[in-house]
Amino acid sequence: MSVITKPSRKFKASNEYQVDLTPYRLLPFRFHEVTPEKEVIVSEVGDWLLVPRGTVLRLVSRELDRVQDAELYADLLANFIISDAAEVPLLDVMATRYRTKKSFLDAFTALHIFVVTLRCEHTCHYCQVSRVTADNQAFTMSRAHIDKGIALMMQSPNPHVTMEFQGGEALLAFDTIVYAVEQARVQAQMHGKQITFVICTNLAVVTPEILAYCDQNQILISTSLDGPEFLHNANRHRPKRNSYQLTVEGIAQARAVLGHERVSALMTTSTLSLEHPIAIVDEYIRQGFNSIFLRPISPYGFALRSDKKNKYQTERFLEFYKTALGHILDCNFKGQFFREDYATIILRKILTPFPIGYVDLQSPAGLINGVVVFNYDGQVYASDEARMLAEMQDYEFRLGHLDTHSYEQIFYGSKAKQIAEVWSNESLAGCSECAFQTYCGADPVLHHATQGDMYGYRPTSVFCQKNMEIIRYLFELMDADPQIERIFRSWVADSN
Amino acid sequence: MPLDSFTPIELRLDRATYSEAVIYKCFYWYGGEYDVHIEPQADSIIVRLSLPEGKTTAPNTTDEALLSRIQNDLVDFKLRELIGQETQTIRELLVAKAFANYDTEQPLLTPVSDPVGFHFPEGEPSSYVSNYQALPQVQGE
Repeated sequence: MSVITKPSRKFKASNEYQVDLTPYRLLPFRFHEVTPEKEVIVSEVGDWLLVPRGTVLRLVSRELDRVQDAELYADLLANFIISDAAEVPLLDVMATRYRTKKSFLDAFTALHIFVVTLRCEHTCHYCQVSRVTADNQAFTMSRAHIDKGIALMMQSPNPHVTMEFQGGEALLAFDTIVYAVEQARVQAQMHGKQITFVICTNLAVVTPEILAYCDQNQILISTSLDGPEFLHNANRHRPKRNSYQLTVEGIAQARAVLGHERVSALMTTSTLSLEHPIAIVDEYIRQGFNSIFLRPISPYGFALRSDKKNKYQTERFLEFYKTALGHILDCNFKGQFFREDYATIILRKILTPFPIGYVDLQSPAGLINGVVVFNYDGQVYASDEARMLAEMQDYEFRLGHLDTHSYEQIFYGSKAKQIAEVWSNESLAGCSECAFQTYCGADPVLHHATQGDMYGYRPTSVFCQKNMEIIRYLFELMDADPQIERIFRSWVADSN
Repeated sequence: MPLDSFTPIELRLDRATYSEAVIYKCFYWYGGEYDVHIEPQADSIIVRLSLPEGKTTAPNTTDEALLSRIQNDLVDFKLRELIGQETQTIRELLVAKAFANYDTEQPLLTPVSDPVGFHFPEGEPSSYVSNYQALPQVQGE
C-alpha cells in the first residue's frame, strides 16, 4: 500500500535558507558615471543601482564583502547584478524580464499614418513638409490609395491599430477623412481588429460639424500649441497672425464636444522657443493641460549635416529642457500635478519592467516595427521623419508604393532589411556597452539625415548627445532628492 | 594649461594592460573632438590625438584634465571588457531563452514554491517529499 505524504508548508528555521559562502559571480551589467561622486549600474534587464564612483572597480576586483558591505551586496543581488550561487537560479525570471522589455515587438506595426493632404493654410517657417496652398487638390490622397492603405493596415498582425490622419492641415481634406473612417470601420470589423482614430490638426478650420463627427466616431484630436501667443504666432504664420487665437478657441470647442481627455497638444521647439522655457510650460498649465511634451529641436530642415550647428542647437535645447523641467518640478513640489512627457517615457523604462510605445526610443527602432506612413501620393515611408526627408528629395527610407508593392515587399522587403541592420542599439558601436542602452533607442533616419549614414557616429550624434544627457540628468535628479523620485514615479503611474 | 595652443598628444599603452579592443572603444569617443590615430606595435599601442584640420583650439579643457579623462576612460573600458568576458555566456543564454519560442509553465521545484497549492491541490497525490523531485510526474497525471 502506498503512503501519501504531503509536504509541510510551515515556515522553516533560518538555517534552512543559508547559502554556501561561495564567491559571487557577475551577471551582465553596464555602468556610467552620473556625477563625479556617483555611477549607475544597470543590469541587462534594466534594473539599476546608484552607487559611489569606484564601486564597479571594487565589484569586478572581488573586493566586496557580503558582511561588511551587506546592504550594497543585497541590493546587487536583488537587482540581478551579481549572483552568489554557482549557477544562476533566476535565469528564467531574468529571461522573462528581458522578453517583457522587448514585448513591443510582439504585435508589430500599430500606428498607420495617412497623410491625407499636403495642403495647409499655415506657413510655419520650421515646417519640414513643403506646403501647398489650401485650394490645390492635386496634393490630396486619392480614395484608391486610402483603400489600399487600409488593406495593408488590416494585414498588420497587430490586433489594435491606430489610423492617424496628418497633413498639411488634415481637416482641409475632411471629406477624405470621413471616407477613410467609414471604410476602415467596416474593414476592422471584418478582420476583428480594434481601431483608434486620431486627427492631427492645427484646429484653424475646425467646425461644429467636424467635431460632431469626431464625437460620433470617437476620434481623438492632436493639435499644436507652441507656447504663449507671441511665440505661437511667431512660429506658426498665418495671414491674420491669429493662429494662437484659433488654436485655443479650437481646443476649448473640441474639449466641450469630445471631452477634456480626448484633446491633446504637442509643441514644436523652435530657436525662438529656446528662450522661453518657463513661459511655454505656464501656457500649457493655463490651457488646462496636465502634461507637456518638450520635444527636442528638430534637425530636419535647418542644419542637417552640420555637426557643429547641430551640437550647438542640442546644447541649447538641453539647457532649455533642464530649465523647463526644473519649473515643472517646482509646480509639483507646490502640489500641482504636471508631467513632462519625454522624461516620463524614459522614466517608464527606468522605473518599470515595461516597454514604451514611443517610436524614437526603441530598440529595435520603432520605424516599420511600430509605425508606417502612407503619403498623399501613395508612397510608403518608414516613419514620419522619413516622409519629411522625402519632401526634401531624400528618398532613402521609402519602402514602396501603394499601387505597386505588396505587404511583404513593403514590410519585409530589401529596404526594410537594410534598415534592420542598424535599428538595434545592442549592435551599434558606442551603444553596445552603454549603460543607458535599455532606456534609449536607435534612430537610423535621424543619423542618415544629420550624418549621411544610417549607422550613425555616436561621438557627434545629436541623438546620443541629447539622450545621454537627459537620462544622466534624470538619475542625477533622483539621486539628489528622494522627493523627485517620488514625483517621477507619480508621472509614470499616471501615464499608464 | 588651457589648450589654446594644443600640441598633439602621444600615448604609449602597454598591450599587457590594455587590449586593442579596449583602446579602440575608449578612443572612439574622442573622435568628435580630436583626430585619433592608433598605431599597434609589438608590445604596445601608440595613440596620437591632434586637432582636426582647420581647428586651432581644443575643447575647453586643460592638459591635466584631458589626461585624467583618458586615464578614467581607459579604466572604465577595461572594466567593461572584464565584465563582458565574464558574463558573455550568461548574456547569450539570457537572450536565447528570452526569445526562444516555447511555452512551458514550469513551476519552481521546491517544497515552498507552491504555498497556495496551485500545482498540488488538496487531496491530490504528490510524490515529492524531498526537494527537486517528481514534479513532472504530477504534471503528467
